[in-house]
Amino acid sequence: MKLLLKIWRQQNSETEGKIVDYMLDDVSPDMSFLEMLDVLNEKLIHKGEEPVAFDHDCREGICGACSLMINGVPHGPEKATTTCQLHMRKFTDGQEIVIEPWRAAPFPVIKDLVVDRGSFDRIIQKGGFISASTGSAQDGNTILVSKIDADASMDAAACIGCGACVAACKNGSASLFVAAKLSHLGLLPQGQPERSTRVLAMVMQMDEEGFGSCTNTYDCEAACPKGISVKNIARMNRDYLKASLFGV
Amino acid sequence: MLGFLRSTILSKIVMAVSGAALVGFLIAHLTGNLLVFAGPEKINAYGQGLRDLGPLLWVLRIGLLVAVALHIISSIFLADKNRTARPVSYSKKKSIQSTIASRTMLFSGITILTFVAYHLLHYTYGIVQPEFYHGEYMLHDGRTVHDIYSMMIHGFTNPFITVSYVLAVTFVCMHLNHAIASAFQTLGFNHPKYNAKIKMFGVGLSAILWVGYLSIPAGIMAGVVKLIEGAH
Amino acid sequence: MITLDSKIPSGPITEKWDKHRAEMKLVNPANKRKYTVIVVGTGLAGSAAASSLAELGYNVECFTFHDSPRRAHSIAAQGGINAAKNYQNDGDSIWRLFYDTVKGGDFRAREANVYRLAQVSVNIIDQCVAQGVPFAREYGGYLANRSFGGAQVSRTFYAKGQTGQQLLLGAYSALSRQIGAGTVNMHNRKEMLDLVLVDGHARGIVTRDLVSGKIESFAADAVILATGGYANVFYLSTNAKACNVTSIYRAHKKGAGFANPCYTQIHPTCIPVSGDHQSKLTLMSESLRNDGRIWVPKNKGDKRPADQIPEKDRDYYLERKYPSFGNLSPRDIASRAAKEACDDGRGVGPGGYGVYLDFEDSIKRLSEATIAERYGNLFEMYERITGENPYKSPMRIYPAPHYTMGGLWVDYNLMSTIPGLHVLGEANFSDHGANRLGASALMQGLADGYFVIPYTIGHYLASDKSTKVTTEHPEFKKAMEEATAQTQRLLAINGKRSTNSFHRELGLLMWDKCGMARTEKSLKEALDRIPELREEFWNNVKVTGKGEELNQSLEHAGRVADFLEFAELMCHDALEREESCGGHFREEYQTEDGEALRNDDKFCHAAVWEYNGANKKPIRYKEELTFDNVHLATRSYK
Repeated sequence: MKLLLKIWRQQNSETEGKIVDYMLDDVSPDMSFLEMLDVLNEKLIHKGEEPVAFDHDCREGICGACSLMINGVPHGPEKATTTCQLHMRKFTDGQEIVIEPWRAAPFPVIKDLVVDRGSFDRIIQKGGFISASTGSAQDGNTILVSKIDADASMDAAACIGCGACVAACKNGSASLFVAAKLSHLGLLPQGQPERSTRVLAMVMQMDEEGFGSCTNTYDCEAACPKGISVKNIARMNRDYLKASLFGV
Repeated sequence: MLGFLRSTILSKIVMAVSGAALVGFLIAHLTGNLLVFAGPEKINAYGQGLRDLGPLLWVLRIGLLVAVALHIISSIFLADKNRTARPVSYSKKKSIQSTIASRTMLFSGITILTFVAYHLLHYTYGIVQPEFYHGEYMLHDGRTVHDIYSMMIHGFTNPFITVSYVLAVTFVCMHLNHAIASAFQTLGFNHPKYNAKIKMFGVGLSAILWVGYLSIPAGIMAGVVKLIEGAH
Repeated sequence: MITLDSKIPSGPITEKWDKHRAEMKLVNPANKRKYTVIVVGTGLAGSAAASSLAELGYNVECFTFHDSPRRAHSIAAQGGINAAKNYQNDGDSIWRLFYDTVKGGDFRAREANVYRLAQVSVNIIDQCVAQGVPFAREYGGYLANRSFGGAQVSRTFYAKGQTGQQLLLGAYSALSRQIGAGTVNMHNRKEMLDLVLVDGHARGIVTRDLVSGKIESFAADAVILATGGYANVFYLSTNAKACNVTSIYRAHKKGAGFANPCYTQIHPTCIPVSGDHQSKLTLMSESLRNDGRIWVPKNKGDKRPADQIPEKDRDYYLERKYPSFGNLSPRDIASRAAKEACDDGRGVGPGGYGVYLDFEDSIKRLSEATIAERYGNLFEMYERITGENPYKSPMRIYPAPHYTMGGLWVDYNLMSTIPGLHVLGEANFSDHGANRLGASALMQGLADGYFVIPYTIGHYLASDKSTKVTTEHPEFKKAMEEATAQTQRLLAINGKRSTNSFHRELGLLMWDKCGMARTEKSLKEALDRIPELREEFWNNVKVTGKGEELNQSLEHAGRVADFLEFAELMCHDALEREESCGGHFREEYQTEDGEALRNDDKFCHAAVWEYNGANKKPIRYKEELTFDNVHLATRSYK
């Protein structure tokens, strides 16, 4: 396969960036998207140019490090798939591929395709936990969790914190990310004591970080590599309203 | 009072609730205006009936104004927040499953607002077509009232007014097409058992409103609704 | 000269940990805040340790090279976590988990550590449930279990196929809580480059800020390394791309003994290599072996598609050779059996390096829906990567380097041979012997972080009489200068070959010569070749860009430079261990039917290596292992 890559290059957060064109030959359909970029980088290094910086690590779709806006879609064209598990057989010979970083004010570009997603961590630090210090726990089976709740909680907990929801949203909203964590904890009996304070604190931080608002377009759900449902956002709204009206 | 603006979710909830009030108004407004098909007596009596409400009418008007104001204020706040959330835009961006309606709420909203202003200047303040604004009609009980019936017919015989009206109603319905289901989500109501029904309700209601509102100019143009001999 | 005092408490094995806890010194609550502890790594062990120590009141400086502490490779563990809860009433107990782990490790682990691991396993589940880890539940609301390789009881707790992710997110949430509370100072995107010793004690680290390139140093009262394993020495492994040996290898160069580096685990169920572009290997959870049957064609060169090979022409070799454990035989055995079948010319798929993992029978027995419920996400992943549908045709799998049992030597308190330097999780050598059982890595990481180090570090701090140091101390200046010099040296070479090409070449060499099966000859060849490759690296590598910016090729080059030294250590260890045990298989030492042949008379010990200077052979020490509770026996899964 032969490809025309149009890649965002930016030296650092202080400088302006631009799209640069690269022709790449001999791409195998069995390569993953990141392996295709590896090949490009090897070529760039040989030419003495700087390779394209991008975040990645596990390359099996779970660490959430990889990102990339591929032809206008976060993680590229295949549904429920991270960039690292996207394979080149999903593209055609001669195709033009535009590759950009996530774009949102709370995700500033560090270099090329690498962005800083520290805002997600700060939201979690405000309340994305159950305050259970080590050693204080009772026997696991004394807390019964219905299979339905456990499964629903697990579905929300599957979030990998990649930021595709923010990237896809026309408003740059982090609602799906925040709602997923709130549902994960809020659906479990262990999560109840802090349920109200958690939703108030995390949403406040989300707003402070500068994410946009949710307009219910649901592009986030479609972009999510883990298929997290927007019903979690409804649950967050409900919890937030309840906590605002009747909470502490 | 505007404390809700501190939070995007509360702002959205205010949007949803005020929007619901506006949808209520749209339904009531349509129900009243459809009386045009029942002839001048009915609609003009209805118009007079509203005026006769007196202070209650002002309560309703103020309520409506508050809803509009809240809807606009929260939308301005959110639009600003959303704009600053993505300072650099993508050179290529595709929508994945979002509808056009959902992506153009601000645009459809501004269009509707513009039209509403024009609509008020036209029918409420009589500035657009002053020549048809002061018509009078005598009810069967002998009272002389404002002749809404003829005013509507005169209005819709003007092609510019008719076209802008059709476009505006279409934008309203597009807006609602997303807004109604979206309000349920914003208010926290999302359940797999009911989601399809909510969506149908949203689409259905906007379609009904679209047909209803457009039936008036259509009826006038088709001659089903026409000026009554002797009226002026 | 290093001394190996394992500090195993006296008394019966069942009482050692309790006794030790009663005897260890404590730091009183008001004094805890006077101590600072550095934690490097935010996987299960690191996050668990950092959060638990902060909860106790210590100041914690925590480091990760990732953009967030939630990305460590613990997240990729799929199958589950073992605990001796005996919720299934199937005869499990602490003793049995201890026994299985010692036996699974092929009698090369330290009994006392393993027993403690089994003891605290039950607390781990409780802690994780309390944190909100959404473990799978039965309809009645009780915790569900599944069975796993190497055990005859169901003791594995799981959260779909993402147990590692959920446990890590649990530990990450506990850590986040402490970061939010200001008790942990979190340093993202900072990579440890060196350990700083003052008067022989570990007192700090040198780091490089991966965004600004700034070289900095941090001082503390104790240092904890929880930096994972070194399977990326093989280049192709199931580890994440950034996993590396640098932290523990630099500590080794500063005097920490490195134990059993040759014990590497090859995971039997990975997706086979598809071409030269391959950058990593993807593991399919071992839990698939619960319902999948492994087979190859009976006849060499049988190239028919799987569905056209009749039952009589199939060889379900694990079921045939190990009837009582069958497809659930331990990892080392299952991996080697796959290699044997492929070396015998019966492998399947392109290149012939693959065996079938077939779900046809289970789908018939249980329905496709049940299989989808159990393994749906794994099946999807397989299809995404290979383009084949495993519901219709069997998966193809092949072994791949996965986990490294070796690591820095630690005593019962998890302290290395350098006072103050503690090592947790995969980075230490302690609990798995020569082979790790499935679902035990998560258990060990969390045991070390949540339930061992919070006690033992207090003991160290309370006993340590040395004075406080700051980064103004000359040792810090010296270490920073060295780290800066190394960076500049790498950037100045400006040769012809990329770092990746060196890493690939080293990986292939190690896989061929020091991989699933090793010989004296192959190891000696590797020991000849590695120094040459290293020399070429230092003369011909091309690292682009500058030091004072985000520079991923520079990061990689630094890591590969350490792998190029470490690989030699690994081969020395493999060469000198003249026996086969667990993940270390020497072809010269096998039984007539091809099973690993241990030599308990000569090698019933942990080999601990001391760094002896650049390009010099390291010095080998021994920690003799005694088995007072589990009798040394030939491991049999027949």
